[in-house]
Amino acid sequence: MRLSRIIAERFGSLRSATLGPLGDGLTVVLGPNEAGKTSFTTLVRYVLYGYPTKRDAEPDYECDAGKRLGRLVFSDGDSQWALERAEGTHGGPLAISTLAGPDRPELLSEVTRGVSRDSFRVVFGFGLDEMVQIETGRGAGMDILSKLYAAKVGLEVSPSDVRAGLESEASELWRPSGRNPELNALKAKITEVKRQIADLESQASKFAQDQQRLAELDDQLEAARADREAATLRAQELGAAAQKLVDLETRVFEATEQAHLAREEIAQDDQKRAELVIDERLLAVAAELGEVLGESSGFRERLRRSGEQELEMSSLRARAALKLAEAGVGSPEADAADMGPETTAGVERWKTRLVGLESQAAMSRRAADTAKDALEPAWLESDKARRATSGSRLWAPGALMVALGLVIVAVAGVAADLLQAVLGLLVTGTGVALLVRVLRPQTTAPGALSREQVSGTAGAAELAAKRDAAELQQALDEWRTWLSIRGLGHAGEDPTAASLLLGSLKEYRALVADANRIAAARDQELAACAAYRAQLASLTEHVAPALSRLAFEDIPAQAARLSQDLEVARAADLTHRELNTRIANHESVAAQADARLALATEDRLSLLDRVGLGASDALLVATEAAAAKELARAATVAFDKIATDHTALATRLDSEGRDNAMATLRLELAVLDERRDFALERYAVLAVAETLMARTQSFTEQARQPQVVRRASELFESITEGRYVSVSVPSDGGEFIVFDPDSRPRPSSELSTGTAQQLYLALRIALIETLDEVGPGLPVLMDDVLVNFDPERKRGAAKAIRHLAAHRQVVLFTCHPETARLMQEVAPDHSQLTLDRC
Amino acid sequence: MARAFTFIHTADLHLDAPFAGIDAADPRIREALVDSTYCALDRIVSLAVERGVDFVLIAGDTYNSRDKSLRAQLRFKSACERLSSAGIPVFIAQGNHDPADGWTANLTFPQSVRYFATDAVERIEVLDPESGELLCALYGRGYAIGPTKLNLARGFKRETADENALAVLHANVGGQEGYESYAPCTMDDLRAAGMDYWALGHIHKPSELSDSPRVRYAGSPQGLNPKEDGPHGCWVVTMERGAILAEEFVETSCVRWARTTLDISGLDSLEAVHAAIREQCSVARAEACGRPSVLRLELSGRTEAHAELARGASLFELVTELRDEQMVESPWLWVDRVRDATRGVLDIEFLAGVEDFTGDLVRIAAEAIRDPELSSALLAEALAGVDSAVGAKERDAASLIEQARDVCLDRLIGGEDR
Repeated sequence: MRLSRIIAERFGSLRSATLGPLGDGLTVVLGPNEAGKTSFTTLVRYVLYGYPTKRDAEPDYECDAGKRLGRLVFSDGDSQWALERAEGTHGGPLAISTLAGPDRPELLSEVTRGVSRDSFRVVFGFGLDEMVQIETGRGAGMDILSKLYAAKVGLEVSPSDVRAGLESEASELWRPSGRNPELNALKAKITEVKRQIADLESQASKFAQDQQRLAELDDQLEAARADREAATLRAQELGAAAQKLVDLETRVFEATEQAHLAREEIAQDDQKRAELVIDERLLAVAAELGEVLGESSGFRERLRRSGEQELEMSSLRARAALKLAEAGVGSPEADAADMGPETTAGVERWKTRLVGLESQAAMSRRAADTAKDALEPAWLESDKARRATSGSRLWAPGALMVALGLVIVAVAGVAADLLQAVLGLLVTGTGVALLVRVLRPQTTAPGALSREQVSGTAGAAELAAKRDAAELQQALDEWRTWLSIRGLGHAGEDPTAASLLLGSLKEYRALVADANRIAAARDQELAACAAYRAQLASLTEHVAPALSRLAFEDIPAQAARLSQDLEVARAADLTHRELNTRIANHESVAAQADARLALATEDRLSLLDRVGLGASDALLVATEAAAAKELARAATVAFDKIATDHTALATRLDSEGRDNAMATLRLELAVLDERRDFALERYAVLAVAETLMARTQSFTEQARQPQVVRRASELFESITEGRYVSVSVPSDGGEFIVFDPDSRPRPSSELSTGTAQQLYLALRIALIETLDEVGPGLPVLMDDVLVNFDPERKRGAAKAIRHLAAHRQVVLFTCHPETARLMQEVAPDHSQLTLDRC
Repeated sequence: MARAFTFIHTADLHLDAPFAGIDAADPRIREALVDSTYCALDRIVSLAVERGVDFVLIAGDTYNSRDKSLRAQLRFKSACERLSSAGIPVFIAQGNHDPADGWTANLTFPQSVRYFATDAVERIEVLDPESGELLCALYGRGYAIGPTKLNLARGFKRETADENALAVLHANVGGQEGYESYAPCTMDDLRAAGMDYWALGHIHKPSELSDSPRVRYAGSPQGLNPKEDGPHGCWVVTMERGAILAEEFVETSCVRWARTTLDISGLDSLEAVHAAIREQCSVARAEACGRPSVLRLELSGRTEAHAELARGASLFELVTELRDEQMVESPWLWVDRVRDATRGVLDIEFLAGVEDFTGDLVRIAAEAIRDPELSSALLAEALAGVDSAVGAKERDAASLIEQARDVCLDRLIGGEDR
């Protein structure tokens, strides 16, 4: 496969230009300056590898007419394909089109296989500017020789690049004097964490010491507490002692004063007691006499009551006599009469009975009279009735009711029951009324009573009247007998009179009884008065010998005098006793004051002795107390300070003990160690890999690269016509060295420009000759690379190019016709194209 | 005849222990880890109170005296005070991390806390606080001045009259690997003592060495580093007349450690790797039984995803994303280190026969791996600088060279830059 045409559209000065057809082997393109030779060389690179960006520092070949576009037409036999790339992002879009034959979508990779952009620029499409880069590029990551060698042996990347990559990655992990690489940074962090851990361990060691210090502070605190309490206690003791001493001295003074005053009081009271006169006889019976005199009012009361009772008794007796006279009964009869409750009740019963009987008798009489009066008309009516009818239906009930009424009346009379009697009369009357009605129609009706029937009724009524009168009389007789038996016979037949008499006699008896009772009471009062006088007299016979003979009426006055005397005697006695008490009290007070004085004096001495101040006084003790108080305050301050230190230390220790900083740091250290080990592991692999690569490269350069170098040496010797016979390419990236026939080395930097370019050309040709399938479709584009060669060496170079063109397509651009002619001479079968200036 | 009694056997609390081997970047995991040993202690105390045990045995290494952690000693004191309030005595045999002459904060512990003597085996009688009858005899001996190589177990001898005899010791029985051989002894030494129960400390993984006599390591109640994965807790044992009536291992850890190797052979993308790790997180979370957990992963296998994992910050970004995902779930899971031990799909044998740069590389690496002097020289050349600056590390030279070789090959063959 070969490149047959290069077509440029809007590419720099090439507005629309085609270069071709290009030959299979060598094609010489002759064109003047500004004909576009370099543009075509560059365009091929851009189409194959994309348009450069601004950062790539390559010529841009921009055109005012529009976007750049390049097209490369490749041929293989009769088939043709075009690679077309227009300007655009990411190098511009690539289009592969088939002009003839089968599609080859992988055309680009087939063409460029194993050749990078830089390799193409330095080795395949180069001008004078790129000539030297085959050497200088080795130090800038463009070891083209190595790259192309790698590509030749099927490596995806050159050993140098791999090695550089390994070195780069390793240096990201560690550099001898770096700070940022991972291992360097980790080492620094580990050192720092270890330092922090050491600090904490130091703190931990100090913890035990601090614990000891805390224990000591505990002891100090206890001692300070004891000191403080002792000093406080001493201050309190002296303060209390000072206060107590003042109290005691006050008590001594007060006791002395009190004893003195008490003794003065005693003297005064003793004088008063001596001056007192007391009626001892009267006082001897003062208690009894006082009680008796205390009862004098009772005596007077009794005396008054006895008088009143005398008057009342007389009045009652007069009224009794008058009552008796009114009743007309002598006192013997009155006293003998039975006036018990039975009698009173009996009078009432009799009274009722007699009234009933009298009433019954009277009604019977009226009934009999009525029946008698009705006899005559009955006779007449009877006759009429008998003529009209033989009887009436009301006859029987009327007769029955009359009979029943009479029976009731009779029974009431016997029972002396007025109500029953009235009931009987009502029944009788009703019966009579019925009979009258019977009789009246009988006068007109055939059923009226007969004359016999009326007569019979009248007769019966008369009999009943008589029987009731007899019964009444019998009752009166019994009544009189009953009264006589009870001594009330003079009361007469009238039960009401008997009742009144009974009342009068009862009143008389009550008045007599009251009079007798009052008389008895009066006698009791007088007896009590006599007893009182006797009692009083017995108590006062030595001061009032005649009292027992005094009339009752004079006794109160005498008692009053006695009371007064007794009061005087008692008052004197009381005063005497009060004086005795006062004197005793004063004596007691004086004694107590003496005792308190002695006690206070003893307490004072004891107190002074107890606080260890001997014969000091209160002022001195107060001074000592103030000093002790100051000591106590100082002890408290000392205690507080130790307590503060103790609390702070305890708090700090507690805080430290709960802090997990140590654990966190240890974990951090473990993490860093782990990361370091991991990074170290990775570094070790990379570093050993890089070393392996270096060793292999060294071996390869010695064992394998000489093939290229040997060929370059042959070419260089040929070009230089034996001036130099061999070439050396150091594997460490050092300067190329050439040797003359005497094996004298000469570094490339000492070669002339032309000779150096001849060396670079020889190396390129030698390298390309060995590449075989690397970049199989790539032509070698040389842009006036022979310009600095002298004619002899140019001829040698032309021969080398001709030899190269036997293996690979070569396009040689030149603006020198003599070069074209030289190529014609050396390689007469080459193709030649001409370019005009744009 | 003594009644049945119950006790808790714990050890190796390592309160405030410095965690190692974890990149706890998240404050939640940091907080949980800082508090985890105390959390486990609190759970033991709560368990003792809830179960109403008769006493608690601690077989050494309650805390690291060397660390001079105040908080550890204060928190332990608080725990003892809680137990004392509940009437539960504590018997402690000190270990190599908290020997009798170690640093202490001079704290005053409750009288119910008893330390075994350190100069000889001490016999302590445990009495029933109510009846006053003898429940059991405890035999124990603590460390006096730090690590000891003496066989302390030989000093234990049961008195014939003891109805129940228990021994408390911090020792390495049978020379278990991974732990210092302190107070080394054998099972025969333990059997010779005639005890009914050996309460051992020092080995952080709970284990049952023997059932007759009953020999138990309580392990650390809280895993202290990624290697101490799986359940951690204490034993709750009920005994009567020398016989074990009941025995239960109760997990007390507050953060569960988990670690696993995940073979991602066959996974060819980061997405697939991500999914596989997420699934592994789910497994770890389920195994943690409701506890927060820390998962350490090693990715292994030859995989197409190796190059992607090895490239730049891909793995770091993957882990970051996983952490974000897992920390928001409940309980949270911290994806700790994800170690990429994968290999690319490289045919090393083939490459070793190729006459080019890669072949040269493979052969040079192989030669260095074969020859210790060459490998030492290679590592010294590559790492002398960093080792002198950061500190030398023990390395597996062969593994390191293989990794380095693969990195080179990955980049040479799979790189993009040309």
